[in-house]
Amino acid sequence: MSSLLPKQNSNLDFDEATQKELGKFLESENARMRLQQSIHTFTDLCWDKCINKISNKIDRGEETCLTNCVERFLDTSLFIVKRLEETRKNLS
Amino acid sequence: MSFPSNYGLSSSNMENRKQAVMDQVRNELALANAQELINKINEKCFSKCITKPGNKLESSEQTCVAKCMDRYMEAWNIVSRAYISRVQRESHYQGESL
Repeated sequence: MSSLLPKQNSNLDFDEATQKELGKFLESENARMRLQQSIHTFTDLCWDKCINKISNKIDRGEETCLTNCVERFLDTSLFIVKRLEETRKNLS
Repeated sequence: MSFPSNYGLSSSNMENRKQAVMDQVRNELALANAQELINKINEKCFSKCITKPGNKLESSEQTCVAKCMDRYMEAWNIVSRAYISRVQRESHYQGESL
């Protein structure tokens, strides 16, 4: 993302407080982007699992399926990490 | 990617340049997000609606794609709500095992 800043003397053009502020801003924008990226990934995955026919509105069943799909995906991710940790502990 | 070329050192000028950088970052991210969404919709709705590609996009296929777009964005919002509420719940119970 540093490529967005002017090329020559990029740091010298801003005083220290402004550099700090911009750093914080970039950090939060980065977090927001990662969040959105995850939402894209989950929507992709859960769309395939939950949406069969294109109707005029997403019905209750599909909505529940989408919500559960996100929750269970995250549970799976936590489960895998936990299990790997346990395996590692048992080995040492 | 153009920047204001007047790099003076007055503080209001610096404030302006800071705002310009922030606006640029916001715009680029919004654009990237929109592009990602469009690509996904294209992929998903093509596979749902155009089952047998003919020699033109049939009007029934267009109707399907239009509906599918709306449904995909609806799904995106549902997923977004579910994920954000999960993240909030979990940061609330930070430290407790799941």
